[in-house]
Amino acid sequence: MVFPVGCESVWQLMNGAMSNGSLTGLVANTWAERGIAVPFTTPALAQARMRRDDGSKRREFILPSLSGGKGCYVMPWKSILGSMTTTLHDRVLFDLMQQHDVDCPIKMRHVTLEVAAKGLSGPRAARKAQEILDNEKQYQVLTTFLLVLQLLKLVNVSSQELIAEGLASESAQRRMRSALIGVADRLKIPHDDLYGRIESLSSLISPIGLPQAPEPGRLRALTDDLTVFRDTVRGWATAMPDEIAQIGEFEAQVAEMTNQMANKSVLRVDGETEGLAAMLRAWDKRFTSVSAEVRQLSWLLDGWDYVITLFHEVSDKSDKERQNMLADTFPLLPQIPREEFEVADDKKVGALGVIQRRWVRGNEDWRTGVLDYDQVQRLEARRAAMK
Amino acid sequence: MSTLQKWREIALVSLGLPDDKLLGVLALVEQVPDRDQVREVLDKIRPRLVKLRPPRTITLQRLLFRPVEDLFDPPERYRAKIGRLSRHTVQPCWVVIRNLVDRPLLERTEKALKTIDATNATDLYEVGLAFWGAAGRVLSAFLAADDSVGRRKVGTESVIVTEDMRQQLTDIADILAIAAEVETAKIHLPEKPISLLSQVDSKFLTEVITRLGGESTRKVQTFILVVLARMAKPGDLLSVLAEASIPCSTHERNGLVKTVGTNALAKLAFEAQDLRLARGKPTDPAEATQAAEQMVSRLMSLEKTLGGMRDKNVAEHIQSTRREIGTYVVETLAVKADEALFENLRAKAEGVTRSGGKEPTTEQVEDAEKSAISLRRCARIAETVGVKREMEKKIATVCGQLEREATAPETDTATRERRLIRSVRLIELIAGPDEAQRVLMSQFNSGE
Repeated sequence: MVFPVGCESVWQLMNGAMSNGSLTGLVANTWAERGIAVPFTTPALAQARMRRDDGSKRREFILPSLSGGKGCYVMPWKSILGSMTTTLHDRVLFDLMQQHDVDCPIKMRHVTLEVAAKGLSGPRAARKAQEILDNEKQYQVLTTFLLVLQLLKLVNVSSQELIAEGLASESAQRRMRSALIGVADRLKIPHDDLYGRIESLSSLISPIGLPQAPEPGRLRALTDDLTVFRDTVRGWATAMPDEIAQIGEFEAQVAEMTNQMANKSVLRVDGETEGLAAMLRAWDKRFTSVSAEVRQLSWLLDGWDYVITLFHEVSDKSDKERQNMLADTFPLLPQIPREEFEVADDKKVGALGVIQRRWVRGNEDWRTGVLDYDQVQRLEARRAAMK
Repeated sequence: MSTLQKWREIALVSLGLPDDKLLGVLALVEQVPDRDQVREVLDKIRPRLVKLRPPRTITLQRLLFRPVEDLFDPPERYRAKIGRLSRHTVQPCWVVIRNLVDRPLLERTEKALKTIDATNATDLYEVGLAFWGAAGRVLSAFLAADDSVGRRKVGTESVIVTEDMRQQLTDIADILAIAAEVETAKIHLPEKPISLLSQVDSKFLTEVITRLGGESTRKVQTFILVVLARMAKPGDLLSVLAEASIPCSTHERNGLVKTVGTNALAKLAFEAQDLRLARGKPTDPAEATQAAEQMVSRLMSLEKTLGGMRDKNVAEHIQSTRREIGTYVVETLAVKADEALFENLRAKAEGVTRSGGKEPTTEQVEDAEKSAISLRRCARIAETVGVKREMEKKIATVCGQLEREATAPETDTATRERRLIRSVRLIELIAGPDEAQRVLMSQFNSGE
């Protein structure tokens, strides 16, 4: 394990936005430019976004302005280490991010859960992370099973018949194998390839899940949460002071746009899995297209799980705490990159951007610069509450 | 079984009841007219009530003591001659006032109480104003009429007056005489504990002090005594007092600041002493550490104001208070946190984990982490209370012990890794991430 140390203090201010004060300058052009939300437990780094520097390709992190002013900081890891005290969890997480060459939210999630499961963000988060990892494995098995059942229908073998025989029984297994051979023949693909393709597809789409699954996949559920978030926050905003109400409305709008785009992706993936036979025939092309949809969805929803956790935390709290939540989540709101923007409303976004940069972040003990472990624990508790 | 014994039994049973049931008992107790009978129940459940903060029904007695309530201490923690009052004084004081205050006024006030919102300070002020004035006057007259100690007859009842109780009753009478100012201040100032006095607050306090100072220095002292009990940083109030324009000599003013300040210091020292002496009692480490941090904050604020007086006596007071808090931090708080930390971790070795399994449960690890944070916070305040070296030693010992536990041989790799991470986490919470990283790296390097 190598933990980089150093104090190369290169605080770069994000280009454009600082000079003209417009938020539109802060909207990334692409997902890669927006970066991946990293669930660090150092308060100043919470939900920082990681991306690759265009030139050197080294990892750099985008942090909201520490003083609460306009703009944000873009810092390489070495500068972060030289500028603030980071938790051991974050040092190990960064190390693993490098080892696994994390370049998308799905990989990030996997690495995050791996670190949390070791216990580096506390015992409760460790238990939760292990539970999530186990559940996700089981969910993938379920997805595979549902895909197989769908294929068996092509050769007129119903799930009821197999269940009646007892799924684990030798006769049912034999029948299933012979039916799958029949499916492969019918689809004109090698027998050995069929199961491999099902496994790959299942692994790819299990974060979304199949529409017929008894429980929705993680990303499908998160997409639904956005609707609840949008409606509830809009309701809260009506009774809030004007400035914060605007923020609430802005957050609701971003949630709505994200939800619309996410739903489209989910529907496209559902369409492909519904016509499973056609997909398996034109495998390379269709698999690439589903991969692109899943990738799009994971980028689109990246960072929303944290916002939704904060939202749930205050749902039964006072109006003041809800206002604080809206203010806290505002700078962290996962924005949709310009090239993905289908329904642009730059004027409104620009006006709200001025407000977005006003909030002060008190995250370190200002007297000593040492970590505020009460805040670290709050972040760890959120990790334990995430789905 | 006597009635008193029955109440005692109720008090014991109440302690084990869930919150809603406890509040049910409180509602019944509130209806008992003779407070003497139920005092034991109330004393026993008071710590829970402090946390629950149930809406309290307002009685005439409660209204009477509203201006002085911030000065009351439980009898076992009460110390004489530092401007505090014992809860034991409530009953005799009430007997005196109930018997001597004009009956129609009592009835009028009691009737008015039923018509107002008991949580509204302004309503209570309006209803209580005449009552407090009259009560203060009759209490003063009662004390002036006979300066002897012993049993005194009041109407059809009698009270036993001791030297100390005389002093307490005098203080209560003085406060009741300025109840209007005290209650107005409560309405104007932030909720207690007041952590910050704004400019508006300071201006308000200066005006009240100046006005009372025009009447007598004693009234100023009484007013300060009450407001001081509501301050998280009492030094801030003393600064306001030191700068207010009171028609008295500098010597007198300094004397006033010194008297009130040393009383606050003494109270602080006694608090630390009480906490230290209650060592065996199970307390939440986070709450205990927070209490210590608040004491340090109070000490620092008093030192800031009183330190400038260059008074040898005051300096000694500050030193002894610092020593007392320091001793509490290093000998009680840190020791308790250390014990609790290893108690939770070592449950495994003794096979007494809550889960009955081989390793500590999530809850036990969390408790150990709470203790670790408590130790870290102790270390943070150690320098201020003069125990920096002792705390450093303690931290080094605890971390050394954790490191040994982290590196102890274990046949099962998964268990070994879990224990290593657990210990490293605790080291991080106590000594920071750099030290934790060193231990973690040393393990990886030795494993390679």
